[in-house]
Amino acid sequence: MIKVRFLREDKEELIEYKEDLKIEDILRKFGYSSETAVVKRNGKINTEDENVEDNDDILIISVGSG
Amino acid sequence: MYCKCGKKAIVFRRYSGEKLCERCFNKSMIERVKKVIRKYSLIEKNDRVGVAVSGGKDSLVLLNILKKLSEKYPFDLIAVTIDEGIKGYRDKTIEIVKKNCKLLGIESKVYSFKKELGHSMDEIAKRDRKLSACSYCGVFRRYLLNKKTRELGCNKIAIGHNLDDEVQTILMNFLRGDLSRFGRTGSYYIYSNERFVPRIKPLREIPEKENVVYALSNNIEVGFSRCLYAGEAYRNNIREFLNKMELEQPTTKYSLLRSYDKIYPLIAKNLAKKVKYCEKCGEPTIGDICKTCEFLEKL
Repeated sequence: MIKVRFLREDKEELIEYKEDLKIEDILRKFGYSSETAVVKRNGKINTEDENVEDNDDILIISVGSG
Repeated sequence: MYCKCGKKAIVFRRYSGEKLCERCFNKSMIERVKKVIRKYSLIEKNDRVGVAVSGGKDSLVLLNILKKLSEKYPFDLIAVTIDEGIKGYRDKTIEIVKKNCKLLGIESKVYSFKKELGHSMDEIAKRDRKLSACSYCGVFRRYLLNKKTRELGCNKIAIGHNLDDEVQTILMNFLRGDLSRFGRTGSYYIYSNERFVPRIKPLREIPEKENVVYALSNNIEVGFSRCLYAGEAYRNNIREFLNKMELEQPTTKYSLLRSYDKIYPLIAKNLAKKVKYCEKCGEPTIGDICKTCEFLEKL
């Protein structure tokens, strides 16, 4: 399973791991894109084309305003 | 994805094709801000710059980058924060501003709506009013920023507007037919007067997303919470449209900014209005009475 957390919304979800799953797929699943969010994977900033691994911790930071 | 230096990239700039590692990205951010400052002579020798710092990512990234530049170039910085009086939001970000200023060794000043104008935003929001809370807030904030930075001896106000803010504003004003505002979104001012402190936007060519990456990568503590009264639906629609267009055509935002910058010298003189003094308070305005006096009368 992959843990997905959302910094601005103070919530987290678990999603099932699939082979070749990329960060951009996770962003799309939750209504984000490379324009609207920055992602930390296991505490490090990642580009959206990166593959994720099982048990990864994904933090989505909505770019928003402010 | 790897940076040209061989390290793992943390940013992929779709609009330029650059893939940058943390070190190259941070270096590039400083260089791009320097380039904008030089291009429009935004900061000059011995300037005293009041940095409008809300505690959000843009203003704190701006403060951090300007601090770095002020160590190499001869200009002064002071952080100016406007406390609109939004409990549970602004009180938290003011603490973040203070922590950052302490870390950076920058003097920080806070001015509140309540003390300076007699009404907090929480009080204004509760009233029966025709305008949105954001309308009051924007007018009062700009008024206080100008007045207080001038009183502090600043000759520039630096604000954290990023590329996304700029192109949203340009498109919004154009679509609304607000040509007066459309004529004053440029990087410099056509009209000014001695009580008007020019606002500079050193981050106007930095995408919003890259400010977030810079804040995270440099461990800058920033407030990510949203204002309780935020809800400018029109701007949100424009933001969504531009983000969608940028995904399909990754130079959309820059193209819009470049187009605007090219026509700005041609339109600004015709569209921007001359700055006068408010007949009531004496602060700069384009009308006879400034918006702040007009709004305060209605409250």
